[in-house]
Amino acid sequence: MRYVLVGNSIAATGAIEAIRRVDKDNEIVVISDEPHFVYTRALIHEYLASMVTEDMMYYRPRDFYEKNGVTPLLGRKAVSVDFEKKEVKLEDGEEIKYDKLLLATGGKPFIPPGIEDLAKIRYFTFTKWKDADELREAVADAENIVVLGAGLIGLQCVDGLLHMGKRATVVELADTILPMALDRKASDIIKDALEKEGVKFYLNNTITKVYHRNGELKEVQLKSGERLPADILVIAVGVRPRTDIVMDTKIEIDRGIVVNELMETNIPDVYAAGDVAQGKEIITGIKMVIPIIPVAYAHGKYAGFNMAGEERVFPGALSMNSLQFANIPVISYGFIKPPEGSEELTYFDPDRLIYKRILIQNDRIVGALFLRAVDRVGIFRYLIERKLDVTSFKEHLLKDDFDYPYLPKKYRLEMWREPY
Amino acid sequence: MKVVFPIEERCIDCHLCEVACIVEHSETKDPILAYMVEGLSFNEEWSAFTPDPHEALEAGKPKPLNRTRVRNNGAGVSFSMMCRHCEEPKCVEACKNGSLYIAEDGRILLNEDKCVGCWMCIMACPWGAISRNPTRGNVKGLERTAISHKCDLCPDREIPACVMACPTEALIYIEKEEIKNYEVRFSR
Repeated sequence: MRYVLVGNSIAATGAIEAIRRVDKDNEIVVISDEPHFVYTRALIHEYLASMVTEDMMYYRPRDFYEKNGVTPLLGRKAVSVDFEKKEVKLEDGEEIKYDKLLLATGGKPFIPPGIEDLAKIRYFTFTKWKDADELREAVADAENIVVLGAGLIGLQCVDGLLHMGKRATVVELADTILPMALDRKASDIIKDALEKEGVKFYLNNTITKVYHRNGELKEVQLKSGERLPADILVIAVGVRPRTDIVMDTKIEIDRGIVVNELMETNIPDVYAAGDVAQGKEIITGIKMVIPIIPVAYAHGKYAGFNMAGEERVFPGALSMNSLQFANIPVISYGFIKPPEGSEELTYFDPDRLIYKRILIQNDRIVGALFLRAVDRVGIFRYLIERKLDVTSFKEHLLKDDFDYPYLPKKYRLEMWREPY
Repeated sequence: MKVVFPIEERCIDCHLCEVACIVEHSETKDPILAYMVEGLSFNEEWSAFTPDPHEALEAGKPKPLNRTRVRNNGAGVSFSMMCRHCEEPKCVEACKNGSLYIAEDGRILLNEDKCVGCWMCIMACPWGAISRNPTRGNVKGLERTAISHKCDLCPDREIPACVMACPTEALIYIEKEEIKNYEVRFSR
């Protein structure tokens, strides 16, 4: 019996830890094209600017593989899977047999079509350790850095560059920044704060052409007609599930690899987890790709239990984000765009610079956003995930000290009965 | 394993658990020194709700670094709530870089040298049991980084300080498995 995990990040770690709670003996093999010991990609922007040490990047203690009986095959790329023979084929030709396979290959940067001459220049993406090393070297003498995309990856890159003393210009197709996590009001607050730190934004815009001299980037052409000087172009418009190794197989792929509530794909003994997987979302029940750390870990954990033979039904994932730009922390959950028929509760205090917004649909909270006032907001995660009717305490939701005592006693008793 | 469990009917909203927690986790473990000298002075206005712990620190009014917090609805219901040391901790699952971990004895602990203050744990914890400690920061160049702050079940004590301090036995130290059978709590 051998577990093979393709991918070596959050979801794979969740799977390893769950498998080992059930099965202490059988071999676990982890395959990754990156040479690194398991690390967090969510800190590469701070690593870029040398704000964190390499040690802080590692996701688990350095004896993690030995302690968990994991055979790491690092720096070795998996190129295809033969589901009949139950083998993963590596780039160097070796074939790794599996009994249970987890596809945790993550995401890969999406490069938008329609940028003329992009193939003729060197541009950067920003999702891996190596990307941070390469970008740090490249920006050393750069004057004009353009980042395409004002999502989390793009703005974290900009944030890292700011801390290196570099200014960047951001070009974004949407008319707000961080659209997956912020509504318009929060977006405006963060954007203003970043502008004060010297970031320039071109929203409602995109890059249509790059100008170069002998392959060296000189300028970018915007849709709006402007031309911006540019030495470095970072493309950060988002990530797509990295499904390459199972392309042209019978595995079901929609946006990502489709999984059921046991994290199984449609192929026997093959599971998927993390940014590559498309699993159940908890509010709607619809299967979607939600590329965030807590979901990757939970996916991996449920996959691991099921792979090891302990059946566990995945309750569904909640989209959530915790961000900090320009010293302003923001935490948001669930829907950002108000769904049809939803009610919006908002609180804004310009003096304390506190903004809160709660979306309620059919008496349940389906979205919540908190700017600066982030203490204890996890309670909203509980209310959303448990789908509790909030009618009887709705008037308290936006209070500074909103907390469990404001809930009806019946709910509090249920809360104490939750597993410890 | 044992955790601290609150009995809301017994809580008199006195906040002595918070005081005991602050003192226990202070340098000197002396109330007067902890509050007056170590700069953890309790201030109702700031500690009741602090949008930015750094502002409180700069204003000389730091949020007390209590790891349990008396929650109150202003209408007679109060109880002290801290980390439940969950078997499947959502904070650990959300932690960006593995700073939060499950110790061998089941406690959920923080590697204080590794935490980057990203607040993924605050986002993830359904109990609101993690707060921000602005007296430390590990990320260079970010003035306002802080680190996470949570209950560690008082490693130097047999029974946590909050439980010992509670004058009405509204906090009890109890095996996790016994909580579901603890009908006193549920019957009233």
